[in-house]
Amino acid sequence: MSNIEKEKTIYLREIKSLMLCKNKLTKQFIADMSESIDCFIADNNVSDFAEVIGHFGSAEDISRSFLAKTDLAYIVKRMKIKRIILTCLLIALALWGAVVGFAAIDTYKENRGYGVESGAFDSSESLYENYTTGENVT
Amino acid sequence: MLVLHLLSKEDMYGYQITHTLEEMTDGGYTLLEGTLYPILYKLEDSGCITSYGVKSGARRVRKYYHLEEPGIRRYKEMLKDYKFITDCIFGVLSEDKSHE
Repeated sequence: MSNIEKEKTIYLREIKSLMLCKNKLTKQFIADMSESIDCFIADNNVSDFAEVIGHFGSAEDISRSFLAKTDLAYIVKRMKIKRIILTCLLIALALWGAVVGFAAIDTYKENRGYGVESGAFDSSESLYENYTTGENVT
Repeated sequence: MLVLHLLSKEDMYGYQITHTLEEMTDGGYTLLEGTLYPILYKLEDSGCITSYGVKSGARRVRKYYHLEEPGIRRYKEMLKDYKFITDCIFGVLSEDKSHE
């Protein structure tokens, strides 16, 4: 990868990091920006990346102009959707954790002999029968 | 409106639009890419323009924008509104000049 390519990657990453939300639109924008930078480099035989920044502006300028032109309601909506998805994921994770936890407790109890139904006999009834018949209980 | 005007002449890609505008105005008007692309996305969403990719170079695909029928209608409406507004402004300014 050439120096200019490396600097371009850093520049685009910087723009991306300044976006309020990461969605399809911002991804598309970064791809289009990358294409525009390539065109500029090819058209002007750019050897120094400072020329690119001089033409397109700083990462802050680009992200600011993009956000200024992008519908704020759309960004807020996307952020809300993101928050809802995150909440749902957290709830699902908590439920899964609870299910796994209970399953682990059950397994532990079974291994230690808790809650195992022996089904041998009702000890109280047998003792009573033995007592009335006068058999040796021990 | 300027973007629609340029696209009414020929299909263009993003950088070409900003570059042509800069050339046509002798560098007097610079449309930043950060401003241009959101405009293009909105126009595409509303069906005014469509885009298609053209391979340029080994790996690169250049995205061209094409003006569609709703875009032509919108452009004509915008042009009409713009002429109306500028006529009004010139009317006011010329009246001021006549008083001087």
